[in-house]
Parts: sequence; structure tokens; C-alpha cells
Amino acid sequence: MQYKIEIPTIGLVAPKSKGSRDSLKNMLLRIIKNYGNFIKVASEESNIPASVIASFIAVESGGNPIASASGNGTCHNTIGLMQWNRNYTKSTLEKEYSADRLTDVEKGILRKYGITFNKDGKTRKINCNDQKQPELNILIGSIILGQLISELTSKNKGWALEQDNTLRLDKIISVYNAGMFGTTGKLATDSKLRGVPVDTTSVKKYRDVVATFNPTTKNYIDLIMGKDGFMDILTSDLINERYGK
Amino acid sequence: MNKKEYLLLFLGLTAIAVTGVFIYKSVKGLSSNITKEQKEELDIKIVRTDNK
Repeated sequence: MQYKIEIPTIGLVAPKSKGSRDSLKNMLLRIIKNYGNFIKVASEESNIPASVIASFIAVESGGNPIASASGNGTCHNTIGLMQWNRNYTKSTLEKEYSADRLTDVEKGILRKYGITFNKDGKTRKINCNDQKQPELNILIGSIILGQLISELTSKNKGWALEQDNTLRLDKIISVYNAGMFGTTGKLATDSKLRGVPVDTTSVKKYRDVVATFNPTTKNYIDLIMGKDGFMDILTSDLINERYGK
Repeated sequence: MNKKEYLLLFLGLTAIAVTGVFIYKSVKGLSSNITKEQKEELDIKIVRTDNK
């Protein structure tokens, strides 16, 4: 299925408080230098554009492989480059395996880190040390993104897909950041917010709603999709770095 | 059985069938339906708004 994402998204601007265009560009250059090969492989295997994966790394951790909400290197549930929660990752990987979605390359990378599947499709628990491995963190982050895109654009749940096949990356960012089932996750996907119907007809309208219950996620949407944001820079200034596609 | 009992039996069986279909659809709706094809066929193009 061919989807499109419009960048920079009309009406959104990356918040200046997060840095100038040049400083965000330098951050992206560091990420490409340090993890470019891992991003490239994860992109090829998941079919998610490298610019999307690189932007999630930038916004979630700034490219710091031991970034943690409770202090660098400390084993918070969401430590690492893409800040996914290790408590849900075992089931995510088992779901990917049972749907036969893991490619041979992905299985090979997982195996390198001791993550294999038994005859019942079960794997081991993912730990803090796993999260600190850039290659593994990026691979699993892209698998999570792929599952979100598949689930939220499927025929019966096309919540993140417009009729003209525009992929609503703002909604994917929101659910990735807020989670699918927590309080903020439920608010992110609810058609009503505190009883009032949510207008999601444009990215700006949805992001204004998100801002009322999760300002961090609203900032992430602006930073990734807005003018002078990560996707804008990657698909213009850094187009020759191979990550702007 | 008289006519009234047949009618009650019919209504009871219909109610059970409708409830069964409802439960089946609810469970099916909650289950994940991600597929290998969705991943393999995913093709995302970035469209620059300043080039439109």
C-alpha cells in the first residue's frame, strides 16, 4: 500500500526552544554518523523511511543511546535511542514473529543479541542492556512503528489514514509516544476528549487537542513534522545524506 | 408443544444466535490483524509541501 506524508506540514513549526535549525541539523548529522548503517538496515527491512526512523531517534533521545527519564544510563523502562518500553517488547516481538513479519535479516540481528523464538513462538524477556544496544534499539523501534502503522491504517481501523492515502504521522507519533493502552494513549485515540468530539480533520487540529493533555507529544509532532523540524531538514538540507527519502 | 411455546423457543434461539455473533465480532475486532503483506507492501513517500 502506498502512503504519503506531507513535509513540512502546513501550520506546524518546530519549537525554537528545542534549538535552531542549524543545531537540529547538527544533531541529525551526529545521528547519521553514529547510527546511519543501523537506520538504513532497519528502514530496508521495515519499509519505513529512514528519515522517519532518524526523526524518532532525534526527538526521543537526541541520539543518546543511554538516554533515560531517570538519568543517563539508569534502567528506566524506556531507556535508549528510541525510548520504547521494554515491558511490552516481548509481546511485540512475539506478535511480529507469529504474523510471519520478521525478515531473515531481522531474525539474524535479534539472534545476535540472544533473542530467538521457540516452537511456540515465545522469546525471552527484553532487558535494560538490550535497550542500550543501538542496533537492537533501532531495529525494535522500527518494528514497533511498523506494527502501529499496520494496525492504525488497516481497513477496519483506518484512524491514521486519510482517504487520499495520506498517512497521519501525527497520530502515529502520538500513539508511539503516549502508548496504546495507558491513560494518555486512550486519550490520544479517543474520538471524544472529556465528552467533547475531537476534530482530527487536520494535523494542526489534532495536535491542538493533543496539546491539552500531553504537551510533550504535541512538541514531538511539531519537531518531527513542522517547518525547521527533523523531517523538514532531513528531506531538504540532508537529502544527500541518503536519509531524506 | 403449542404454538406459543414454539414461538418462545424460536425467539430464545434467535437471541442466543444474535448474542453469539455479537461476542464473536467483538473478540475478532479486538484481536490484532497485522499481516506480513502489510509490512512487505508498505511504501511511504515523503511529499514536500513546498514543491507542490
